[in-house]
Amino acid sequence: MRRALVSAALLLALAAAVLAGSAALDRLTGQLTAEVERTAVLALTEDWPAAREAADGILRSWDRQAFLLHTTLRHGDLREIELTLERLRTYAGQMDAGQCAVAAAEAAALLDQLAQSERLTLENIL
Amino acid sequence: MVIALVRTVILYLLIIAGLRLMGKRQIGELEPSELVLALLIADLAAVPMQDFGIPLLTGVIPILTLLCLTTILSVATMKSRRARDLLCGRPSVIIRDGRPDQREMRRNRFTLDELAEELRVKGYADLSAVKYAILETNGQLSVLPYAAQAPATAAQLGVMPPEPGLPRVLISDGALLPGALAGAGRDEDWLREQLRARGLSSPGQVFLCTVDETGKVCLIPREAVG
Repeated sequence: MRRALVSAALLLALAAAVLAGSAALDRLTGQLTAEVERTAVLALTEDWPAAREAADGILRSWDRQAFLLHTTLRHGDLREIELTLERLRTYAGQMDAGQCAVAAAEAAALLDQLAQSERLTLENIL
Repeated sequence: MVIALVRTVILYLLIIAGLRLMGKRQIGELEPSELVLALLIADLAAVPMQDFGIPLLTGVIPILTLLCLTTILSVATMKSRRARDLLCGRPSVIIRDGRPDQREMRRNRFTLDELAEELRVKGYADLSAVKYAILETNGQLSVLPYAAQAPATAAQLGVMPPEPGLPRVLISDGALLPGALAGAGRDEDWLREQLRARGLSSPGQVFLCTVDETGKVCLIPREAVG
């Protein structure tokens, strides 16, 4: 009986951990998407120092979560997002508003897709 | 490659722990739920072991989940008869009074060829010698012959052979097993005496030494490695 209780507790802990992980990912991608959109707006208004700073900030936030992200999500998906964020920074550095907007839209879509894939929805389960 | 090595070690240890939880059953004696667990664990472990693009946790979490579920279900089957029937099924009487129960055979998709084969394996070539044959939940067939066909036991013959007792290993491949001597109610002086009586001087010269509850000693010396 003790073994069953320990197993049930472990199962509940696992469920709680994965739900918490999914919620944390939702929050992180939401924040990053907002930052990416802000960068695109700054690029459109040609406020390049602020755009560069914002793009750097996004990559710093991403790097801070790198360990957690790599232990829970497909590395290929993460690499794709990272490359898009780096492209956004490069275009911000080159002061290319058009490419910045494209990279920002791409990054936002990828971040949204990442969060969607980890949400507890019937769609994902099936 | 170092990732493959580390991941393999982690997953291997996890699977061994899982199989230990399943107990000492052989693969052929697995209940349906245990067979499903074994197959799923093997498959789940193989993916993160080979594909480094996915996190190790995608293999570990499902394996842990399966182990937890199996433990919970095994306790449920132990405590509840209904859960046991639902998860493990019930034994089916395939032969009753020497006649195959065709309905039970159909229900278990058990063919006559399989039945004949199983009976031959158990040493019964003739169906009429079998009073009952029961298909157990682990897939094994238990055969109960008619009393006239069953081998006579010592009690039926009126013979009272001495009980052999459980042999206890004292020395295994030259190594004296700690605690075994005391467990058998003997001491080192007794062991030295036994060795001397067989022309040996130390446990290092013994391949196997056992003693049973009646005090019967089996001692096999080590062969010289040439």
